[in-house]
Amino acid sequence: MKKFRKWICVLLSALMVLGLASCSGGGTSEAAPPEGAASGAASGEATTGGPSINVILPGNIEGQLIKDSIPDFESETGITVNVTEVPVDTLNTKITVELESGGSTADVVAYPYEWIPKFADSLLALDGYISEEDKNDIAQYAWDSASYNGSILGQMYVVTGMIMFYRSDLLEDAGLEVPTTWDEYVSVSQALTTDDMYGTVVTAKLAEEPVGMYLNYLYQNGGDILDEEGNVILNNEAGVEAMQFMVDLVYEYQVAPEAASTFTTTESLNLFTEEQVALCPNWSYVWSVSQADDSPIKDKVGMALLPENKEAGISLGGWVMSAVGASQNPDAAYQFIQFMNDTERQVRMAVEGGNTPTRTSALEAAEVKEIPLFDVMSEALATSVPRSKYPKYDEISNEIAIALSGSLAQTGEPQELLDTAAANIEAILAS
Amino acid sequence: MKKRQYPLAWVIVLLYLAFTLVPYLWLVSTSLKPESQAVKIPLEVLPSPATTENYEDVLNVGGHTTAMISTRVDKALANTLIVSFSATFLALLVGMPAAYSFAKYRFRGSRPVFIAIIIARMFPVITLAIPLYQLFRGFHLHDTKIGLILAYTALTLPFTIWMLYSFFRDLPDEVEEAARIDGCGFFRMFLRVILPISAPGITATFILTLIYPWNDLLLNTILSSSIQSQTISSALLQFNTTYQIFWSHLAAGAVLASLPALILTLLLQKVIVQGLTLGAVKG
Amino acid sequence: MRSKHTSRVAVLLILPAVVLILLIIAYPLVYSLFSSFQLADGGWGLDHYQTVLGSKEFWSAFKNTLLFTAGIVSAEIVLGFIVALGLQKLPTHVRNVCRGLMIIPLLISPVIASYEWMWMLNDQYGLVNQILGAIGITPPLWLVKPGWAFFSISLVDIWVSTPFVILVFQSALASLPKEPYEQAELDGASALKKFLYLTLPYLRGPLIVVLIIRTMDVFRIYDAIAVLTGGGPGTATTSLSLLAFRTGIDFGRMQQSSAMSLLMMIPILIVTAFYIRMIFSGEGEETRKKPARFRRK
Repeated sequence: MKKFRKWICVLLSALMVLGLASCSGGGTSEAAPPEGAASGAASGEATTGGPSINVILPGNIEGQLIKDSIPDFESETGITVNVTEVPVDTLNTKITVELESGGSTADVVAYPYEWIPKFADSLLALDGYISEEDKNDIAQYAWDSASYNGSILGQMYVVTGMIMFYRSDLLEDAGLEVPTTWDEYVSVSQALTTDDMYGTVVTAKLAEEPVGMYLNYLYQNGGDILDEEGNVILNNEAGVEAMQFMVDLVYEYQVAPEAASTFTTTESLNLFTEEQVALCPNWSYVWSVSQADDSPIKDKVGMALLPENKEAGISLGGWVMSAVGASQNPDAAYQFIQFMNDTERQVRMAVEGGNTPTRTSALEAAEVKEIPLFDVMSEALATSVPRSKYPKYDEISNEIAIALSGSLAQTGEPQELLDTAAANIEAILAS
Repeated sequence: MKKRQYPLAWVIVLLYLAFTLVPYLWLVSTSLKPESQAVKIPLEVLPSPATTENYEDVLNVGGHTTAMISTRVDKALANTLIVSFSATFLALLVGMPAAYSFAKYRFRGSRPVFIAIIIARMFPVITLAIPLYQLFRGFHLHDTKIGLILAYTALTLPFTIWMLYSFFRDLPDEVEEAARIDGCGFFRMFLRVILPISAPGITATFILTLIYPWNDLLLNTILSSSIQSQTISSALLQFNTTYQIFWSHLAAGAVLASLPALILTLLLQKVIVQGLTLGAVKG
Repeated sequence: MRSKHTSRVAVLLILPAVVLILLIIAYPLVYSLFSSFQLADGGWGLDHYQTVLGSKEFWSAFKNTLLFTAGIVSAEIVLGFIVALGLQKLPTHVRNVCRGLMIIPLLISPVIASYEWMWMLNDQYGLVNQILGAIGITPPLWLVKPGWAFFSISLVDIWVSTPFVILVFQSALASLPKEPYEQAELDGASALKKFLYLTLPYLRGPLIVVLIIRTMDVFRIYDAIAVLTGGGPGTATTSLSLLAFRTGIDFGRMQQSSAMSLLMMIPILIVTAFYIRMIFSGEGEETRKKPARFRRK
């Protein structure tokens, strides 16, 4: 009994000591941003005397590259940056709570650009801040995709789209050309499907990212979610055909793995690098991953635009940096956004992160021109359609994802699932 | 005492143990593989060669990273240790008297209050998210360990009280009455008589209470803004970058995260046994 | 016999806990719930509730949640009980080692465990199919069809949470008084009789505790579903918690989400009220059936 009590006392006191030490000591063990315990990290107060801003970044590779550039920003501008790094899984929760609740001290937020419609009311319009030079240097599609209801609400710091990655060695051995139409896509995939390998892959898990893949097929088939007047045309012939094509790739032509409704870009990438798939439609990041030194398919990968059916078109993917409307330091916030998206930073993101620049000046840099990815990407991105143009995109995307995953799991037919989705989208847009 | 062999018991326990441990061992194996080997088709069960680079990365040994993501798992783990244990101790400190009171004493409103406490636990935490965030901002508790400790304590109290209540309720009233007759005040009686008898139940409650803050993700997302108060689940999730998942690093972090509580549990086993062989009233 | 003094002490004892809970849980909860009655134009009304109750997604999620809860809770209790019984029959030191090892899944957060299981259940590079293939079973696609998706999600929760059930039952079994059993042995009772008439009644308390806690927790199931299927295929595995989360965070409709949470409460309340009655009704019996160890002769 005595030993038990002694245990408790020892543990309790140890914890009290630890607790006190951690609270008073704070961040003295490393050169961390100012401790927020007392002031709640209020924006504008900094130990260095200059202004300070709070930035929310995703905890992914691009976020890491931005973080790496912060010391340069701080020394050039004298603005202190406090970074909140959030895993991508919880980024939506974090930013939504911060922006919806008032009392947030965030000045800059970085997030997937398709959330712009949702956050639009809380974001700062940047039109007045942008220089003429930047306006001309950065591609128009980048400005369009970061706009909503006529205002520019951020700057795209990552842009991407799907292109076709293929095993150049396998195509060569079989004497085949890269497919440029849907029919060729099917026949080439069939030719390359063997016992050990699938010709291609389809992703249809219920998530935002695979919706991007469906949208590619939709646009290529001359379809869209809404027409110019804002009517829902998702379930018209073009829309249904596009989804049916994805289903047929898996079940009719059997050139793609059956577990399609459990796949996202991650599984697709794994299958491609582990040599289970010959033609892999995927996002631009696949290039640098497949060319890593320890990649089994290094030097065997080619890139091309996705095949088209009636027209060319892909869904734009990307990340945007916005300034918060309630920010106490809007000028400093914009400076940060502009800096992280300037030519030098874009070149760095391109070379180190395989990220396509949106600036002409960056695209013309020598180190960037060396990388074959960006020629293909620039061409592809010229045909891209932004997601932020659709109101309430998150809800629309959810409806499409439901229809898509159901179709690829064969729990319903594309026509009926898309009809349900269209009806729901109409209700959503009306509410 | 007769010791009979129960082969069926062995089979059941070993089968379940296999079910429980295989995923964990897989995690350990993955943590020892170089990141490029984490996903292989066909599957490779064992690392070849085994390497500790993931652990070094994750603990920021020598500041080197192979995953292109620098995430401070070491600091997050330290935060988690401090915050979880503090919250658990606090929950027990505050919860034991409350549970005992609900279990043994009747007073006006005790039942409704008890039920209200249980109900408090039924809501998904996301419902609390925005007002909780505002509350903590208002009290300058945002992004602090103290704030997290208080939040975890409050959120786990219904469970803690409930568990302790069920253990205390089974204690016969005579025990307290006997102690009172001996002239003990409440706290003396509680510490010297009730606690030792209830040691196994309290220990079990301790472990089970600890788990909530240890594994929590949502509350930490809402109430934390920097590595000062980020806990381990949130830190580990940074290895999922939407495009790629850095499995080996994630596994290394998860294994590290499971160790402290595992060690504690194994140590506490002895306490449970001690508590059982004692007992204030001999039969 | 209860003096006023005792009442005051009793209230003081619960005060710190109540204050903490009031401040950190009750206040935000009430705030959110009030907001669910607020309308876009600033007025008050039941619009959000009407929207929620009128949507197919809500009822579909409700059905799914009931299925998950019934399936997972019963599986965990049966499995946990059997394992706890098995543990009890083992030599003490073996039991302690095994129990220590069994705690491990509780130490891995549900999100991480979900990711790990998602990976293990992958048909191309997953461990599960590798093992099943090795013993000659052709595995299904674990997450494609609704039935198997349900199973896989349930499996994750069972893996993570059964140790809790085991721990509670095992503690209860370990604290069983010995005299009644020795007495029954002398009286010539069979093992089955001892189990039915001695063990089971003693375990009633812990069983109810476990039932309530697991029911409340599984009803709010979210992580495993979000990671493994995202609620798919279609809406086949979407739970109420996932729907509420998605509505509030992904769609930004916080008030509707709060309405959903309040509505979610009703079934939980009903089930819990039922359980609670069982507890409080059992009280009367308990005071009569004192454990033999403590009976005064």
